[in-house]
Amino acid sequence: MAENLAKPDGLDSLAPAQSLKNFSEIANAASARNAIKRKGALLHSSSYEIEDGVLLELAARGGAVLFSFSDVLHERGFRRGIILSKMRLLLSAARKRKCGFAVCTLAKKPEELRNARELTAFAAVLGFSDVERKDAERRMGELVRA
Amino acid sequence: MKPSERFKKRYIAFLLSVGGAPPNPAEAKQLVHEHFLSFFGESGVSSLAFKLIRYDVLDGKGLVRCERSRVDETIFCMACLSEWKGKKARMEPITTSGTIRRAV
Repeated sequence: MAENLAKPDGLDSLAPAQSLKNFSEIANAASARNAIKRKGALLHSSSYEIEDGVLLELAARGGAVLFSFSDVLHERGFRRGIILSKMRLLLSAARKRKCGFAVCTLAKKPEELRNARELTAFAAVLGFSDVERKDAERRMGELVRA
Repeated sequence: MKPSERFKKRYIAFLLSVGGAPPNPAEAKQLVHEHFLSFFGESGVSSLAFKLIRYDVLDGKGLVRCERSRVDETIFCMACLSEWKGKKARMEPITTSGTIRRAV
């Protein structure tokens, strides 16, 4: 699918999440524990509730938590506020456990794709510092290529 | 008021489309105002120093003003637009500048 999509401005390449071996969509704590066994795992939870133990393990294995723009886009009004709040809480927990984090679109349709500037703004709104944002870009590049 | 005491401004150029085509100026103004009001609320819009400066119906390009420290929030707000009145809508930020002349 990614081959057919027009690449948004400022992005080097598009990588469909399903094609990444280290990407895991986690639904509960048990699936999270299985997912982090892989080195450099990319974890995404649509509920943005990940246990501290999982974050510690993920940090030890060089993985990262993903924040998806699509999750924000699919919500409206008060629900959008709640999902942003949950993302900020998870970011703070990940930062405390020295676990990696990054932003992505996880777009299922072409209209859900966003350009690099919009993803940077998304990261800034979540609370990424400039250093963390650059680190997240570098880490994302490394883990996607892995 | 001294110029240095006024709020610091940034201008963000954007590309607007509703249902794949640029909306007419009245629709564009309504869309932008409704979307920003919904995202920031009345208090947020006032502190944002938000203003729709111009909009060109021919190519769908427009310009909004915001407060310097809140450029990222403004761009994020633009990116959050996906639908308007049942049609697919997109407000894509193009450039950010400190002056209107350089932004357009």
